[in-house]
Amino acid sequence: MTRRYSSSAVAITAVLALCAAIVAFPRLGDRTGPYGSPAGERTTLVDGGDLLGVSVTFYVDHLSAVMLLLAAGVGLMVQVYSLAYLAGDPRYRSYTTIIQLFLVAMATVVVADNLWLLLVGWEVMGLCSYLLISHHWELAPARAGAVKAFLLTRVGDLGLLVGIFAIGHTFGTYEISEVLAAMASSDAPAGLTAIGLLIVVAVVGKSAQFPLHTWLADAMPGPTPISALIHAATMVAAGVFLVARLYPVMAESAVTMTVLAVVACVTMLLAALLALTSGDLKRVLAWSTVSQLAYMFAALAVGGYDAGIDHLLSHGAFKALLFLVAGSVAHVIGSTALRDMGGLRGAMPWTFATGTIGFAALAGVVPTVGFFSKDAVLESAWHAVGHESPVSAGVAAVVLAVGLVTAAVTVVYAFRAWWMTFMGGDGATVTGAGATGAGAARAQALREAPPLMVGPLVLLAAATLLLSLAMPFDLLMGLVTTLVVAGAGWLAYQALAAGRDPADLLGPARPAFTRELGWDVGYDGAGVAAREAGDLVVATDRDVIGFYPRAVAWLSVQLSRVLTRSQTGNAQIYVTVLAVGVLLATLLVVVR
Amino acid sequence: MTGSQLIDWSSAGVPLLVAAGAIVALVVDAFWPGGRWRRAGTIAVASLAAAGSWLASTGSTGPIVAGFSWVILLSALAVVVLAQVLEDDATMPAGESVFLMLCATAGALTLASASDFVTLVVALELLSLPSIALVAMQRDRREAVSSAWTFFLASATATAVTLMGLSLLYGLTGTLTYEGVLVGLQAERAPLRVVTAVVVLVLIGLVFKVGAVPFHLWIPDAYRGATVPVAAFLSVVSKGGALAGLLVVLAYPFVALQPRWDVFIAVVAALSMTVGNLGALAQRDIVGMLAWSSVAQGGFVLAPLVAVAVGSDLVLTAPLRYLAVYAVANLTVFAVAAVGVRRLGGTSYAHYTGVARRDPLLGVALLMGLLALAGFPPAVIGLVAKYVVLQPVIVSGYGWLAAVMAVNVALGLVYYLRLAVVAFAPASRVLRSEVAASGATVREGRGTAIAYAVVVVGVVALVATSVAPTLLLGPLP
Repeated sequence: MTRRYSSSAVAITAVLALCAAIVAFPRLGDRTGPYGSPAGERTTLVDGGDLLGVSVTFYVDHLSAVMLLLAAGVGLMVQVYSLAYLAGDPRYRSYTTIIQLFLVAMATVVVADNLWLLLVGWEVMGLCSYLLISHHWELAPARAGAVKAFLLTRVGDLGLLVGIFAIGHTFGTYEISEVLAAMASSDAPAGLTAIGLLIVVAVVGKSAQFPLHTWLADAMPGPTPISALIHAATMVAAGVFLVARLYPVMAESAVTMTVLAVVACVTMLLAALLALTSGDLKRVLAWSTVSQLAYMFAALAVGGYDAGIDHLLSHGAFKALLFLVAGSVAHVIGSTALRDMGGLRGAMPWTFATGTIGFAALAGVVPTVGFFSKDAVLESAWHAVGHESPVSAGVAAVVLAVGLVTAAVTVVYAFRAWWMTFMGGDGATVTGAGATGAGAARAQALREAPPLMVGPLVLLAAATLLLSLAMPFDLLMGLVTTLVVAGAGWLAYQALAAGRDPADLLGPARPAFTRELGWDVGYDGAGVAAREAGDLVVATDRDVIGFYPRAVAWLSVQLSRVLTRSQTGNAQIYVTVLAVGVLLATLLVVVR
Repeated sequence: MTGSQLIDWSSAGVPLLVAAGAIVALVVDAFWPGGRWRRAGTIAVASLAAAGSWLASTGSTGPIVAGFSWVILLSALAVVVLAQVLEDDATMPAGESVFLMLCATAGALTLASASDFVTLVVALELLSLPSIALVAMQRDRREAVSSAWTFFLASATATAVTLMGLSLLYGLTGTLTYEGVLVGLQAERAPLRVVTAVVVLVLIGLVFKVGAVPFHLWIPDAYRGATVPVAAFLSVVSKGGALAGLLVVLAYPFVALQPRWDVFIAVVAALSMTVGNLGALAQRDIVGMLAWSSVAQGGFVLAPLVAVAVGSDLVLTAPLRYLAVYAVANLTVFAVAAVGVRRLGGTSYAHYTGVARRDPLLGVALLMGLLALAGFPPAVIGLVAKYVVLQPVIVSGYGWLAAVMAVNVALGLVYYLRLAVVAFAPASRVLRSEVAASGATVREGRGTAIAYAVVVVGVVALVATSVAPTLLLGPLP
């Protein structure tokens, strides 16, 4: 049954991807800048007009097209990959259906013109994320991670909801294209800091930025293809998309952009250090996602609109690749812990080759797409130091400095994860292998992942290399980052070759980072307090407030019985009631 | 009325064509017996289609009247098709039943397009008397005869009150045309209170046909006494005609007195929805529930009339839009009930336990119909309709009436959802109730399949209009 269903699942996803491509390709050549009158194409499906106040309208521009293609492409890859990865899974059917629902929701978000429509897609994405993280709901971490992801993103969703109301109040419309047109006109409204900050709250939740950053790493118990699709390439990038979509509104306020820049700087470095100390491959990748998303926000905050979008696209490609590589490794060795890996380069040549390209892109090595897009981000910060930008020159300088430091840390953790997975001999322990003579047994047990998994890996690796052609290039920044990469890489190699963990470079601070700074303790405390408050509210509701509805319900049913009994079929009574009714009605209007 | 325009064919043609169809159906059945339901139904559909094409080409007297005429015609069409289930019922003669239905439909259409009070009363009687006869048709059933008798007495009383009001109105204004009354009332020197009392007396007959409290007592009896298609007819066609007449009368001749009678409408509307909903709460029979719910829906449809003096299109189209949505939803549920009588053997909730698990389409139709009546997503169209009638009430400043409406929407949810829950009950409960209902006979012929087609059309219409409400609300004025 699963086999029969699986082909239709891929076929439906392919049709969705085809539709996305048909919509997206004609718009790819459009002007890309955020300013000026809206350049996209607006389509109205249902005109609510005055009757409903909400219309179903779409607005497709270059940005939407890029997002559509990214979501559709990665979605299709993931669907194919899952054929092998989840073969024989009892809940495969619901899994693929939710992926399709997610893709539709993502498409709705990126092409919606009406903000309410966007909100619907935004919430459905959150729901799909929740359902897919808890795909293995028999495992406690999956359940806990799903609930955490849901609750923390809800905080951001609240910001979006209030933000939409504020936009409607300020601009008198809920259509994004009309908002952008109003911003481009000469009498653009001023004082948009509140709206900007609300949107920042929304994207901080959705894109797992500081201080709501912890949910993404805990979302990793979900199936790895889902981590690739939702928690790396698309949904978490929707926050970046939203900022880009409403960019003129956000950029109007220097306060908003400064807050965004500070959030991005803190998140960028913090998440990179957490990635450095993590002992689980998927968690390393999750923290690196958080860190890379912060790069995008940093680019947008300093005025590098194109750099932010380019990095979004590039990150979507190489991070999906890396997660699928991690899934491929986990599929073979049955674990995602780094200490269970090592020396896989011989057994899994394809996974090794594609994984190397992915890690190189993450670290920013020439000529992968990650090198070009990260350079563009840093270049835009450098540009903002010397030119007019949404933030002050000082903030831009901080962004540039933190960006460079984070780039170095990124190189170290990427190199560390790559080394511990594929290199480092085969001294690692593997489940099922004995202590002595393990090497031979292990080499026999290990083999390359099935072709249905390797195929998407190769395609995404090709994309990671070929997308470079579409990226901008700045020679000076390229030289600087190449130096950083070389230096940090050399440092990491020295440590690893000597048998030490580069994470030890943090010195005494390392244990704190391993505990992820105890950030969750605060959340847990808040959770306990919320639960107790909730119990109190429930008790009050049940025993005090609940009395009134129950009494009213009881009274209603009694009245209903009386009314039913009054239907005696006696014509005399009926006509009497009618006559009294006429009398009372006449009296009513006379004595008024 | 001058001789040059004795008959306004554009508005008279529609009811006349329907009435001609009625006579043809009766005569054909009298001279060539044996054709039974299919032939009578074909004649009825043909005459309704002819009336529809006439309406489409002439447009009646105005967009609002045309809109009401369309709702009445299409509802009558649905009821006539639905009546095909009666072929299994020996006590319902085909020719007479179709004749009476078409006569009453002609009355409802005339009620909408009348332009003087004499025509209004004649149309009211043309609507009432065949309806009473339809209820009394199964003369072997004591329940049918007794409910027809109370229906008749109450109806005659209400018409008598209206006639008394009209005679007083004639005494005041000296004319009975709508235009003359409007002019007469504007120039009236009699005490305002007397004039208002007269106006309210005239309205009684129409409010009675809408089934508003306190003139509603005939409704639950008549619905239970009649066959299911006849009850569907009473709840949509009869109510729609009366509502159309009421809207025209209030918005045209009586608008001169507006700041007086609105309180009457408001009180009647509030009472109707509250009493109707309370009555429906204890019902455990689908037709009984629909009877009380139609009283409550009558209240919702009357409510926007309090704002007629505002004079905007928003107010005048609100009752029509609500009626259109109500007609689709209510006819869908009645069609489910009509199919249920044949397939499940009865209309009590016990018969419907778990029906959605045996026949998913029937279950979905029931669910969508009930949710549309309740105004609850995913039946978005019902929600839109509730919004449409609530808006004028708030515009006119009747805050308390809006609050009563809101409370009643919640009250209505209780019993609509209860039936939905029953229909989707799990298998364990189905087995028990099937034992309980096993004594009932299950008869099924071709007519049931035709009624099932009405169910399908209804659910498709509800789903389509819920996805795109403008499909239904756009063409209406």
